[in-house]
Amino acid sequence: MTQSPVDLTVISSEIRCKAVTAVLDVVGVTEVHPPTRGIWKNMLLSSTEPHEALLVHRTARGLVAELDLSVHDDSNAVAVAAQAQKAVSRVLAAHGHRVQDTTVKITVL
Amino acid sequence: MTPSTDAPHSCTRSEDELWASLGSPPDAHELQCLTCQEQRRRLAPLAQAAQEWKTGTDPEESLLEGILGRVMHGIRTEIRRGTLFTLTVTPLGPLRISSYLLLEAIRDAVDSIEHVELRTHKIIPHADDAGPISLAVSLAMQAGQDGTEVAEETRRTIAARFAERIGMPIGTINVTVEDVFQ
Repeated sequence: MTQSPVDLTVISSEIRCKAVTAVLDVVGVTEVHPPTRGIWKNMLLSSTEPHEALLVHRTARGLVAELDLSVHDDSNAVAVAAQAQKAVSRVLAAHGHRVQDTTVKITVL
Repeated sequence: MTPSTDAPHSCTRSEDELWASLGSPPDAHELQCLTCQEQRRRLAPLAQAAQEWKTGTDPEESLLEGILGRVMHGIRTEIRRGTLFTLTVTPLGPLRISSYLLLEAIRDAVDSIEHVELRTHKIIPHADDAGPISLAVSLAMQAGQDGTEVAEETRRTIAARFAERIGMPIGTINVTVEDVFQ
């Protein structure tokens, strides 16, 4: 999931937290999963911060925001993932991030 | 957890009887009997340990279970990240799914069909990654069933399950009936 180079200061943790909260409000989403680094932190120390579930990094074509989630057994994975993607995009756009410069990758695990 | 009755005991009350009454205050006999009082003191730590074991309130055990639970949850998540397929690419970016969920959808679909047992199942990626995936499934069917009908019903059921649960287009679904059971 992680690609180079990681720059977590591009989008503040507060905005990332709002985006994660918006995804958790999407009907059909059961859980968001922190990236691998967060999983090890979770195992060894304590629970991760909510904003860590949204991984943000910069590429030559702009910002990429990635989030992994689980869906209810009776949900349609594409429909839920698309709603989650829109939820992240809405939050980023509301805080001044240009939609056309931002890619939102959602993975259903 | 009852201690042996072979232990030396100088009064008429057995160790089994004492063990059974440890949860209650000493009765009239035990208040008078120095042997029983000594036995009570000796058995008290063992009784407490047995009680903690039964109720499972040992804080160290709870901590260990919490750590194990987090480790297993993390491992499951990482396993699901192993092989990913693109569901679709929207104007906002790609939507992907774990192969684990796709294989689970195949298993659930085949399990819902009568007279059929799943043997193997796999996902075959399209030659260029943008195309739809294909599926290969091998089955065993109950003796007396029509293999062609079973294969066709399996295809229909898997396609319906993918449409409902995943929402992802599928290329071909190759079904092989490789065995018969009674």
